[in-house]
Amino acid sequence: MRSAEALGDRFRSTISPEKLRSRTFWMAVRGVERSLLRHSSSPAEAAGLRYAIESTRDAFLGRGPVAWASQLVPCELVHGTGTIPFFPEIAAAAITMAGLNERFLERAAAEGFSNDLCSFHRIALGAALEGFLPRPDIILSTSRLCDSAPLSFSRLSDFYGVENVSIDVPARAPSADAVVTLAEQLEQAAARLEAVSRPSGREAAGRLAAAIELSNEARRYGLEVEELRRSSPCPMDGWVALGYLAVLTAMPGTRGGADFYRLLARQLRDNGTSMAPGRQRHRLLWMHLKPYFPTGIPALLEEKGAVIVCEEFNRMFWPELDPERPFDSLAEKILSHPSGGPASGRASRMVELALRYNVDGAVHFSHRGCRQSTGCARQVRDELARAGVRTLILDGECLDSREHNEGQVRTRLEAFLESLDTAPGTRDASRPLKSQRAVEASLGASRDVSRTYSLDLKAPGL
Amino acid sequence: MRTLDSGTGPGVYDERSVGWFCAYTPIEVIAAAGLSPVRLFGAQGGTESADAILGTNMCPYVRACLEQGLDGSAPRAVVVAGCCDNLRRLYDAWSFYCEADLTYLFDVPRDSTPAALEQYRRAIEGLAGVLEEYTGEAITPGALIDAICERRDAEARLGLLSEAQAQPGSRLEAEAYMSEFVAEQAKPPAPSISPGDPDDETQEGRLAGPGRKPVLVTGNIIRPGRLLGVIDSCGGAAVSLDLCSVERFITGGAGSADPAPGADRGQLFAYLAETYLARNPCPRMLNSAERHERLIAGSRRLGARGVIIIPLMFCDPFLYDLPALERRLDEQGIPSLVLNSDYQDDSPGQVTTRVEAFMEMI
Repeated sequence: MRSAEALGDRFRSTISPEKLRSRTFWMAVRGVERSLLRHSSSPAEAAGLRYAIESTRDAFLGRGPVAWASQLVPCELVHGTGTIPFFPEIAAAAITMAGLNERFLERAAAEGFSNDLCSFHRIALGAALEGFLPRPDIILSTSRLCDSAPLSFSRLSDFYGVENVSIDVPARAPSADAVVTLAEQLEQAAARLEAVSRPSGREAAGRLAAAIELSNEARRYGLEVEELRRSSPCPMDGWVALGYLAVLTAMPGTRGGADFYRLLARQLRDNGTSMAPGRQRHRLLWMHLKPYFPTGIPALLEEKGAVIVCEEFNRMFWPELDPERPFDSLAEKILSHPSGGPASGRASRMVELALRYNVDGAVHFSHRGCRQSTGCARQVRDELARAGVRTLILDGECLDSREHNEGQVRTRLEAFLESLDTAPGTRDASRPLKSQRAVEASLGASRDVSRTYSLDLKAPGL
Repeated sequence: MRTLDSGTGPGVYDERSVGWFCAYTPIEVIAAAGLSPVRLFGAQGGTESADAILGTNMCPYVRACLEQGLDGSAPRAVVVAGCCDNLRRLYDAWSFYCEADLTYLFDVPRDSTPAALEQYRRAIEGLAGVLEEYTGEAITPGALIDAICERRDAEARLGLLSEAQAQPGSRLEAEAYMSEFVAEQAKPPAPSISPGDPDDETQEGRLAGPGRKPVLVTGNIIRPGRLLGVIDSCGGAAVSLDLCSVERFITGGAGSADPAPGADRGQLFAYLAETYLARNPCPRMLNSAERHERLIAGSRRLGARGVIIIPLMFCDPFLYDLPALERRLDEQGIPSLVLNSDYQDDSPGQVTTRVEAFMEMI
């Protein structure tokens, strides 16, 4: 353990922009990767890690045009146009896991970016200013989930002097008009990406369709994973699964993405609860994200016998994509995100998840700099309460560890979990899961839910 | 009939009042529907109820407005421009927690490309459709043209006021200057407004006296009766107020032509889309470089010795733009001062010290 810490310290003190752009560094990373993979008990994680390393290496070494994309830019679009994707928000989480977050947060603050802004974007800005991110050839962002992506990416495009493609996602509930408006923008974005990647006619033809087919393959296995996680005991801990959000964001549309979910489904099918805590007293729904720096939250959850069985963000939230109408399909994908659009839609989706996964309680992790999510946490909590689901709004920070108050977080979470012990509706582990019809009946009984739900696109999984 | 306490004094909303929040709201459409558009400036004082719903890390203007919705002192109908996360969450909270007859959200794009103009035109058309359903009456091209002309007349009056503000002899104190714009937005019909005339006795006590240092003020929205008074009292003279509740309220500043005679509804909606997207941009728009250059040019033209930047706390569009704006002003040798506003701005002590120091420096 101590040698791992020493290795981490050495990495942090010696890493530099020059090193990240050297072949030698990436050969060394490959060696570490092989060593890690030898000891990995999860073939899915190994597949995900391999893809992440190779893609990041290619971006840093300039092995092709690099497209930066925000979280909700459909990665199939980037893969399908032959550019190397790079997701700065994911990079910010990885930087935090590597213990380099404070350095870049301080750099962003020195540049004048307020500490009230989202730490994902402050870290990305700080890292870019320090030269720690691969140079983009084009930058894409969507106005969903939040304002931060188009705003901070606009600053980054000024900084690098590259084109900024900002996709305005209609704020209202999904509709046919919204799909048309968005599909037009996505088609234009694809044209801009191809202007950068300059594929030959033969390369371009069919590449987007192939990416969509691979995405559909990943989705099918992903849905199987979700179905397996409905069972009791749940076979996979959501705290770990929240780390797979990078895969969900960046890899659908690649062979690596399809392999990841295929292997994960097989692992859960064959190995039972190997990826979950043994004692599962309380099943939880987790909303928004989690801290990506070391925290005692997962240990506390395990100590109290609580397991996260579903996460708001970490789901195959979109309908199957149609390779014959790629832009409409990708527009529908963006519009289907559970956290996008009006809060009533978000709340009804959380009620649906809570009932479908038969949870005892829900936690809304309110990331400090996030207006989009925290601003409707109370409404989501109130809607869940109507459906009989106790919810904790847990104020915290995902990446700025300096703002994290471990004691306060622990006290609030501990009290909430203890309240579930005494809740009259505490789940009986032997109680069978609700059928689809029962879930739909419960949804219909919840005020406003049926009204907003009827506006939704085809929601997967039900 | 409902009472109003919008910062401009008690007033009355009737059943035809429609509240709005953001300067990208095409209020001509509301007027053309036979309704009275009224900008809301939020409840005075604490925002405890709104804070409990939205959380305290949200835009303080939005929290003040939600408080007004919760305490029942807002109109029964509101339309919300989905310009930022804060406003979108205001829409959600208003829909869920406030007693309202109509709460409507519409999209506003972030640039002015042809595709964005079409997107905004469709959004305006959608707003019109909802208002027609609300009133049960059609919005005719004639009513739209009347509303557009009425708005242009009001803007012409405010434009004269802006021009007078550029002249030392007729310049009003910043607070008085802002109040003319606020009155136009908050309590229609608009009061009669005349440019600051040094011989006009009604302007006595409102004119900025001689010897003041000219500054340009930029920001989002400032609560009337608070922060600008500090600038006045510290010897500053605001030559321009680039705020969304003051000069950025004027859409015609971008030089739009009149709508074509005989234009149909679709053409009038397109006209409005073009007019609103061509105005001096808010930091939420993507053309921030253009905004910076306009500020620099305005500052030079008006002889401002410095720029005072007043962002609202938790306003992401402004906060992401701020470093680039400060750097650009610095490159041009224009001194700047940033005053963070919590919208209530109840404790002017520290602000006064900073403004005094800035005035001495420039």
